[in-house]
Order: sequence, then C-alpha cells, then structure tokens
Amino acid sequence: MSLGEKINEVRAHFEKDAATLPIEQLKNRYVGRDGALRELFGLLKAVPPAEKGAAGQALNALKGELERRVEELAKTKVRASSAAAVDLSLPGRAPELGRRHPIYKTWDEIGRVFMKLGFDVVTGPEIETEENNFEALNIPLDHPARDGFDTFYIEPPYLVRSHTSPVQIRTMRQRRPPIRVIAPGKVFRPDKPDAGHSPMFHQIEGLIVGPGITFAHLKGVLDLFAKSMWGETTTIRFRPSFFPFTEPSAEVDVSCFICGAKGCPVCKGSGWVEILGSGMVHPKVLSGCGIDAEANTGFAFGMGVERITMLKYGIPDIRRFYENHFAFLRQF
Amino acid sequence: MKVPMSWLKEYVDPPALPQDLAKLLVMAGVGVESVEGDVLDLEITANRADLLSMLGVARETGVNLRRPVKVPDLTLAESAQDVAQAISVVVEAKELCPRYTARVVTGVKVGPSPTWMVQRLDAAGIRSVNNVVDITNYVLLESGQPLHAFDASRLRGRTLVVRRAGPEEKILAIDGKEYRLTKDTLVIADDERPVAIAGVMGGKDSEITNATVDVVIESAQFDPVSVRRTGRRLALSSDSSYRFERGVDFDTVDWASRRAVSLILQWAGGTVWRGVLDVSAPRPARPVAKVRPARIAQVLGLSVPAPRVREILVGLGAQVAGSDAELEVTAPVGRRDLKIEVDYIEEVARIEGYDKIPCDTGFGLRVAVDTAEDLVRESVRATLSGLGAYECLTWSFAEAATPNRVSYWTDGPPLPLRDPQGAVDRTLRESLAPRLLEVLQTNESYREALRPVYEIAHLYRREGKGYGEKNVMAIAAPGDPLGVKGLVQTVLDTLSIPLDLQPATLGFLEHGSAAEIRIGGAPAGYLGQAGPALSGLRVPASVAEIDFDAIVRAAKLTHPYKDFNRQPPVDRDLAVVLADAVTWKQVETAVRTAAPPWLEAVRFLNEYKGKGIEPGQKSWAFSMVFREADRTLTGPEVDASVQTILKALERDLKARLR
Repeated sequence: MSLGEKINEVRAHFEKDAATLPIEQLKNRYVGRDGALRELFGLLKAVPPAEKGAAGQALNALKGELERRVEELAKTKVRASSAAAVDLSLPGRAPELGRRHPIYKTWDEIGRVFMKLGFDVVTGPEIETEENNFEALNIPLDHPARDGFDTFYIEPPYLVRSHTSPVQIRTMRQRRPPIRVIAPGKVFRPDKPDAGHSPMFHQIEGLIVGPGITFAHLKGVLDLFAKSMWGETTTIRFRPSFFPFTEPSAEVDVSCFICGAKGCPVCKGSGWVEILGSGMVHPKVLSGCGIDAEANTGFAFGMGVERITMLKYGIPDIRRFYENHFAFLRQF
Repeated sequence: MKVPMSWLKEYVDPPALPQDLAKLLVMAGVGVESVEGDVLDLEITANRADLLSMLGVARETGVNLRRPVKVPDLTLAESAQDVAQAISVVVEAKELCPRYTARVVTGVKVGPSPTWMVQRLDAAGIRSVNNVVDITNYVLLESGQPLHAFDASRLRGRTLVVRRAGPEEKILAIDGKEYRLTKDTLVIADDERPVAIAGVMGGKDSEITNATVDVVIESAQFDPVSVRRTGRRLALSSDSSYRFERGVDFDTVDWASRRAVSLILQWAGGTVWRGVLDVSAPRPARPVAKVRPARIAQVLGLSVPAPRVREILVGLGAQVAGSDAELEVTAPVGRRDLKIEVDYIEEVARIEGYDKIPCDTGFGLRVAVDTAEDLVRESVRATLSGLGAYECLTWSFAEAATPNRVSYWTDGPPLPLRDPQGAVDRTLRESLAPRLLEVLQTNESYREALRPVYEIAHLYRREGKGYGEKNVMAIAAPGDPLGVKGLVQTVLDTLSIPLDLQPATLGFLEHGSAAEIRIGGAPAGYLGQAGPALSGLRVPASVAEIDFDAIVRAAKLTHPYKDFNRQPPVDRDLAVVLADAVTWKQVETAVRTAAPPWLEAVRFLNEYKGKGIEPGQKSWAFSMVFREADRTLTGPEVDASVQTILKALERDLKARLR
C-alpha cells in the first residue's frame, strides 16, 4: 500500500471512529503521541526522495485536518467519564432557606425608597399618651373627628397608638427643622378581625418640615415614591380630604398597577387605587411642637403596609398575615 | 347624606348627569359612596358640617361650577297675636344652649304631605310621617338646622325650660323607648317633665299627631360636646344629633325656623303668632382671617392671583375686604371650619384644583443614615433566613386571662386593653414566646415539617408609674435547646458578640434545660426547652428571647481583619468515656489547660451511649486541631501533646480512653 493509500485509509477510519469513540480515545488513536499520524510520518523515511516533498505536504495536510476535526469534535462530544451517570432530574442539594415576612418585606421596600430620598427612619413607642395620639395632632376630645380613631386604652391617658402620627409629634419636639423622616410601626384599632380589618396593623408615616416646603413638594415626593414602587409609568392623583393634623389635606390615589389603569376589580374599574393620606402639617401642630409655623412649612403622609402588601401580591384577606402558616410564609 | 339631583336643582344648576356631579364633588373633596339613579350618597368629613344640607351641597356645586345659588325667599304673614302671650322660654343651662328660639302656629291641619315632599324625603332616606313633621325634616335636610315640633296642647304649662335633667328623671322618646337621664343630659322641659332630649330626640307624648292643632316650632343651637356625650351615653343617634355634634350656625337657627313656619302655613294652614321667642347669647362675631395670596403660593407652590382668590372666597359665601396683598375674609355662614388663613388656603387649593399644583422635586439633597438598629436587624434577619428560619408576625395581644405566664421580663400584672365599649377582652403581651410556640403548634396541626421561627417585636410592661415596652428577638424551634442555641450563637457571632450562657431556673422552661443569656455581663434574655405549661406541641420545642436593644448596643458590624495561619494543620480525634455529669465545658477547659499553646481548636464531634458503655456513662468524641504559626509541627510532638491531654482528662475528669 502506498503512503497515499494509507493516508486515505486513515482518513476513512477517522470518520468511522469519530462517530463512535469518546473524544479522548479518538485523540489518542490519531493525533496522540503513538497515534496513526505519527506512524505515517515514520513511513516518510521509506518514500523515494523524488516523492518526499509531495508526500510530506499530503501528510501535513492530513495532520492539520485531523487536528482541526478533533478540536471540533471535542466541543460536541461528551467526555468519557469514570463516574457513574447522575440523574439530574433528582432534586438538587441545598439547605432550605428561611423566609421573611411579607409585611416586613414591604416595610423594607418602602423604607429603601424614602431613604434614597433622604428620609431618616425614626421610631416611637407603641404605648402612647392621649396628648401625642390626639391633642397634639389637633384631634380634640369629644370631637366627631375622633370617630375615625377608635382606640384601645390601657388607662387614661395611656393607650396603644391608633396611628403612627404621634411619631411626628415626638420628632418635631426632638429635632429642629429641616426635618425629613419616615416612621414605620405597629398601630392598633379596636376592630373585629375580618378580611379587611385587623385590630393590629402597620403604618408608615412620612414628614418633612422646613423653610420653603410646599404642597408641590409633597406631590413631587409622592410621585417619585409611586414611580419607584410601581414603575415609571405610574401616575398619582390628589383628592381633597380632611385630617385634623394637616391642611390642606389630600387622599392620594395611584394609577392602578394591577391593570395599568385600564380598570379591573382591584381599582373597581376606576383605574385608581387609594393608597395614602397626606397634607400640609397644620400650623397648630407645628406651633404646638415649638416650631415657628410662619417661617416653616411641612407636609406629612401615611400609608398602610398591609394594604400595599395585599395589593402587591393579591392577598385577599388581611388575617393571613398574622396566622403564620408555613404554606403562606414559604411564598415570600 | 343622600342628595337627590332633582331636589338640588331647586338651588343651583348642577351638571346634567349625576355621574358628572359625583366626579366634580370627589375632586373637590366630597366623598361619593354611591350614585343610584339621580341620588348621590355623600360621605361628609367631620369638618364639613355645612355639607349636611342641600343648600350646602348646592353652594359647593355652585362655587366649583362658578354658578349662582338661589336661597328660598321668606316672608311671613304674621298674625297680630304676640307669641309671648302663647308661651315663654327659659334657658337655665345657658352654657349648653347658646340660642333657643320658638315660634307658635295655631290652627294647623295635620295630614299627609304633598307628593313632591314625600318623594324628596324618601329619596333622601326619610320616611314621611305627617305634613308638620315632614316639614321639620325637610328644612333640616335643606338647611342643616335640626328643628323640633311640639304639640302645644300636650305641653303642661306654658313655659319651655332648657335645663339639665334631674337625677331620677326619665323620658319616653319618639322611638318608643324610655331613657334614664342624668344631670349631664340637657333637656327641654315643660312645667312637669322633660319633653325632649335636647338635640337628640323629642318625647313621645308631646309629638305631633293627627289630632294636633297648635304647634310650637323649636329651632336652637346646642353645645356639640354635650349632644355628643348624651348620644353616646344613651346609644342614641339621630339626624339631629349628628348635625348638632358637628355644629350648627347661629344665624341659620332663625332662618330655618321661619322657613319651616312658612312651609307649614302653605301646606298645613294655620296662623303664625307675631314674633319669635329668642333666648340667645350675644350673636358671636364671625371670625375674620387675614389671607395673603403670597402665603398661598408659599404653602401650595402654586401662585393664585388675588382676583381669583377673591372670586373663590366670595363664591364660598365669605365677605372679602382688604387689599390684594392681604385680604380680610369674614367666614361664610355655616362654615365653622373656616377660621384662620390656612383654612382659606385649603379652600383655594380645593376649588382651584389640586391637579393644578405641580410636582416639585426641588426639596434639596440630603443623605439619610441607617440607624444601628436597622443595620443590626437587617443582619439578624439575613442570618436567620440563611439558617432556614421563618420570620413571623404575631399579635401583640395576649388573652385577658393568661394562665401560662412567661415572667422573665416583668413581674407585674398584664396590661389590660379597654375597647371603646369599656370591655377588656385582651391584654398586651409580656413575652413573644407563647405566640411563637403557637405558630409551631398551628403548623404542627397542619402537618408541616417544623422549622425554626422568629420574630423581632415589642413586649409591654409596667415601668415605674407609667408603661414601657421592650424590643425583643424571639426564636422558637422544635427539638432540644441546642438547636435554638445554635441559631442564637450564629446570630451573635455575625455581630461579634460572644455567647455567654449561665444555667438558670425559669418556671416556664424545663428544669435543667434553661439558661440565662448575658451580653456584656448583664442579663439580656434566656433560652431553654419550653415547659408543658408553655408549649402545647406534641414534640419538644425550645425558645429563646433576647433584648434586641442590648444586641444592637453590643453589636460590631465591622471588625479588624486577622491574618490567617498558612501552616498545614495537624488533626487528632479522641474518644473518651466519662461520667454523665461531666460537662463539655469541663472537658474543653481540661483539654486547653493541658495542651501546648499551639492547640488551635477543640471541637465536639458526638456522643455515644449503649453497647460497651456502662449506664451513667457516655462516650464523647472530639477533634483537636494543632497548628503553629511559624513552623510545621511534627507527628511525634503532636502525639506527645495528645498523651498529655489524655492524662489530664484521666486525672481531672476520671476519663477513660475508648
């Protein structure tokens, strides 16, 4: 057999073996140290000098070809392994993670947005006085404005706060303007638990006080908040309302983030979801805290953490939050 | 407050469709509960007593649409007889009744009301009774001023007295129920007995019946707080009391009285006696506020030109004088909520429209700094999440009677919570542990695989003469306390806080499986296995509670780096048999005392009891790591150390190599 014939034979065998052999074996058999190429190059010595040049070229061409093919095949062929095959449809091994409670997840999420806007996080006690919970907030005793604020008392004047607004009072009595804080916390109302009510829930209150603060800034802050929470296309709407401790007061709606304001059961077809109460801090509240209400203005806002969490995840019943079923917690 | 559009049209030209009126009112701050047919059900906030009337809603509609409001014309054709000859009025409790008026109409014919009136009242949610009663209700809804009509012939004597009730007095009210009165109840009385609970409800036996011929029309102003307290005490609320609580206007008192009389003359006939019995405190001056358009811009961030401000305020019924720089605004009739400048700023914003105010983000840059508490809480939660614990949120309440008290944080009695009815159904919790164990129990009953749970929240207690609360981290987990200890240890370790446990006896924990946790040498909590009184679980469970503020104070969120040893370690394991009473702490101390300084670590591996080990004894295996900083240790020198260690264990702890 001439060297040319041998070259053709090796090429033919290579293609056959390429289909069946693992890549390591294929490599050894053809391009390895004791492979077929080496053997062919060994035969070159016996080739008559006149044909040596052409034979050498043909061999080199074969070498280049086989090496390229081996490299190609290495990318596609499965490497031979001494280990037994693993059924990768079996579950992976990892310690099971713990979970965070969805209320605290929302609390954190809202907190992060406001921290980016320069709001410090402050807290206050849950056991409060009538003074901080009502009087200092311009909610006089025996006034119909208290109707919305039914409250658990320990014994007068001690109660558990019915909103986070007392933290506004504490903050304004401790800090001087400019003030920029949020106050998250637990609040209590003597409501019978049902799908929408709970005797304990959570609020986040915000407050800015300083010279030159306007209602337009209130709108600016809450617009940024809404866009940060629910996406850049979110818009907000302010409706006049009444809170004894702010004037002007507003209810704030955000464009429905469930349906994109097209109308759905969550927004009751209106395209708007009520999410916040807000307003300019009442001058009586400012001056009651020793702040010059002519030189300073400010705004406050408050929202329910449960409500926002229910909307976010589509949770239909507020009581789920306090049952702590693992089947519930595992989802967050 | 139900407002039929057809009725509203009497006073103002509203939008054609009820939905459009609803939209307009909502954006002006008047809540609309529902729109059914041509009737809007309005939700009136506590500050807007004026909107508890058709005329008030008409004014609000008018100012928003810049349309005029028509108030009914009143001219009374009075008879020559002086009302003072018919009856007299004495106000004894002047502090609770700033104004009391009475008019007398004789010779009326009580009967059905005209159909249009019945329909309007029905649409507004009031059932027709008879023409005279209907007219008082009609005027109440029209003007917001409650009225009451007495059958003059059924009054005993000729004097109406406004006074506090006597201690034993009672009244049978129009609703057919008898009410006991107190000295805090303001009543209208005749010579013998109360005939009305002032501002709340009239008496049954002086009400207008079909036999009534002579009528006394009462129109008055009562103290809002007094009416509110009386209504609450008697659990009695009426359309009248609702309005008195929110305040009626001094001037509307007489207008409403004349309006009612003119309607009675028109629809029930009769003759009105000349004049009015009017016992009044001096007419209060209407509040005047200085309103600066420049201040409006300062508060709103929106400039509203002075002429437009004037237009809005006049449209609201205010009298406006003063200069463009400083308007002098006299409050409109009925708007008791308008007193100071900011009250008018809100009105301007409302009527101009909140949507005209821009969004301004130029409130200045400022860096917010995380509190240590927030950073530590975040670290703790991340650690516990990584360790597989579920964060819980449980009630801050405990049962009113708590049989199984966790008396670690307080010795005082539980703090009761009183609801507005005065009932005490719950207390504030004095520990987080019971609720967390309850979480495990709930999930056990749902056949969940139990896992550690935790919560960071407050507990409550008496502190000195007042009350205080404590922020606490609680962990509960199934099994013996070493599981909970491991979690606590890891949490503290990430915060560079050493775990310091001191054996303790706590009544709510299993005896011999409880320890106090100390931070910086001071007691800061406990851990241990829950006793049967505390845990209703079928499996053993353990709990820990730690003062979270103590953790925050002691926590180091960063610490200096220590270079590590690059020499290869030499490991040796030992298994020794020991008496049951010997503790790991004793073993570790003995090992460390006997070992050379290059003993790097001692780690407990496991315990074995059973075949080959006598009762009362245990076999403990542990491993030791030896490493010197600057050279490689040789096998023989490590083995020699191990022998020394073993000898020490044999000598000090009666250990035996296994």
